[in-house]
Amino acid sequence: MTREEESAVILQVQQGDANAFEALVTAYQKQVYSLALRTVGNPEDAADLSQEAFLRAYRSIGSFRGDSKFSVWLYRLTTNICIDFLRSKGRKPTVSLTMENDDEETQELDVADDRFDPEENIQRAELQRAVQRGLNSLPEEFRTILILRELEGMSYAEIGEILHLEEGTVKSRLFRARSRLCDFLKQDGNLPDSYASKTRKGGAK
Amino acid sequence: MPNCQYEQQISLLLDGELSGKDASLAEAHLRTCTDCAKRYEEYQNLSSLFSDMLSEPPKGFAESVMAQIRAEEAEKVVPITEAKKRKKKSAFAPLLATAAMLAVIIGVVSIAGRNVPTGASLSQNRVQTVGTRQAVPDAESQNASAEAAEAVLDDNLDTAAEGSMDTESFAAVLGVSEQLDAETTAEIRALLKDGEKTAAPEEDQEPVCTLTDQKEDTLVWIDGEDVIYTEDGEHFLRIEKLADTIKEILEIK
Repeated sequence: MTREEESAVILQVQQGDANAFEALVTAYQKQVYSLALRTVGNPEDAADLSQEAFLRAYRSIGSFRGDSKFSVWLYRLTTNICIDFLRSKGRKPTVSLTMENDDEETQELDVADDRFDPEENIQRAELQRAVQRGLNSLPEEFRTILILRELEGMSYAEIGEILHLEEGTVKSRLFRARSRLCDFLKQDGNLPDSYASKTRKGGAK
Repeated sequence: MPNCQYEQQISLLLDGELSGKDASLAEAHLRTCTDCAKRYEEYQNLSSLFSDMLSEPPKGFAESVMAQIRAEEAEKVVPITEAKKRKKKSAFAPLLATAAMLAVIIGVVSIAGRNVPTGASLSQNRVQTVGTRQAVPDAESQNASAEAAEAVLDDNLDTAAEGSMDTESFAAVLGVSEQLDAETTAEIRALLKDGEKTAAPEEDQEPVCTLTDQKEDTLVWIDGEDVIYTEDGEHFLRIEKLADTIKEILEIK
């Protein structure tokens, strides 16, 4: 959807067309779900929280003004729900995404990708588990800022809007989060030297 | 590993957050500083890992969300008929009350319009029908009772004059909350979060509005500077210093 098409859909929903909301769900479900998944660490809770995020977005769509991007508004909603979830009863992210069972892992995360041969798929799954372990080890403010930047591609300004932070804070916090995660992965033995080259199609194996 | 002071710049470079000149400087630095170059590559590898980590939600996710939304919308139909009934009530009631007030005012004014001796003439009549116990009331007692009547009439007039209530107060008096459109409801709904548990409002306090956007109606009161609300009629939540904002939205003085 273009930004214009999206604005038209939002207006339709605001004027009472509930069915029009489905276009927004389809457009953002992957990002919202991924945001929730990497924040709380398990698919079941992530699915519940994502559903809750969309429901809350629908109910309060009347208060969405066009002055910020819909994605920013939606991700702020999602982040708040996830953080509330983590804080209630002092939850830490659960570990199901870091389980060592490869079969179950592949099913849950659907990491099979035909860019890679089977062996590389396994390695990628292992690396992603390591990243999740690393995320789990970080305080929630470092975790969310990394996810918003690296997974959702939000700019510093957008991150500032979502998390209600000054841009200076975004810069320093993101830098510290990144450093900590890199250090964790190196200690974990899982930061490959040349992962980047493998993601190119037809790249050297 | 001793980190180069330039390390944060490298992070900014990776994210494309450096302007032309700063970016060139950072890239130049990478060519000379092996620590930073190594770190930069680590950051790039991490980004690549992340880019593979966008996951599809479980099958049927969108359908499940829409089913829930449709269910909530369907449930709203019944309360809307209730709300329409309530709306009818509230449309009439203030009018009735206004009519009643007008009747009182008119009544008082017409009484006051005539000469005060109304009281006197009444008592005269009474004397006449009662009989001969007392002859004609003497002048003094006549004046006294006339003055008393005037005083009472004055009081009534004052009350009537002061009693220029607006619709909201009428609604409040009659125990009917103001009905809101969807936009106002959403605006207020967005403000009702992170409330602290509090006691229910006083019996005689009436809600300033009702939100009908959810399964159960949410009632909202103003308590001094604070707002109290309930979504289930049993648990009450307080948000401090929100009263002014709500008043602004509802245009209450």
